[in-house]
Amino acid sequence: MDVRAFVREDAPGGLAQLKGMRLTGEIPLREGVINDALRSRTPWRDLMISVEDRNQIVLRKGLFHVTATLDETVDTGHTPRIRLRLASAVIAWTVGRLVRLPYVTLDGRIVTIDLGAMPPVRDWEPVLRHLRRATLTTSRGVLRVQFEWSVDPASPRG
Amino acid sequence: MQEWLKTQVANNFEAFAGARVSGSVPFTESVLNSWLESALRHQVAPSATGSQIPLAQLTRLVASVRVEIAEGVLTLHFELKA
Repeated sequence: MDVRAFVREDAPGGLAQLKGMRLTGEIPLREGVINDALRSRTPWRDLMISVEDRNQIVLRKGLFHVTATLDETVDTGHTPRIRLRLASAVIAWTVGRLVRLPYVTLDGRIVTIDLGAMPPVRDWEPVLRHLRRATLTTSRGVLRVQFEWSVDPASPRG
Repeated sequence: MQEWLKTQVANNFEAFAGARVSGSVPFTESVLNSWLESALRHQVAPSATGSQIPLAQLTRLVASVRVEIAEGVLTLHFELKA
């Protein structure tokens, strides 16, 4: 089954062919899996993530490292957005100077990553827009994603 | 990313141990017929299938599956566990 082709074909109709589909789940993402995924993509190739307790993460790029707190709730308004609160204003200022990516915005110490605009995830934007709820929680070395995803059975555009 | 996905499939999703996904998918007659047509076409020309979901590997994760059929709709209920 060519899922990507099916999504492309059905995307203009809001995945109407799948209306009524529901998924719920929890996926533990281990540090190694996240870092392998980052290594497979530029410009994140040199970035390493350490996952700590209480939604703390440390991002490392060479000698530079940033501590941040991950928002537990993923914003699912249109396409999913993940928010991080950077540990200090100095780090926020530095990140603002170094990171220039269209899907990353910085407002004070808050970094927002628009997953729907982020390659290669953006290929799945028609799928992501049906994400109803998602939460992110961490324990040392593991990021847990809990989610509810559904295509509204009442609306042809989901 | 494709390489990363292939690695996870090759390792039988061991890195995702503890994952649980459950859901239900209602397939209408028209969707099923279109997929059947597509499957038959790709059997003739397998190189044209492009990026594919690793269904064979995913079946190893199936904890439960149930089908309901009513008024032109086949609904698949399933639970996957890694």
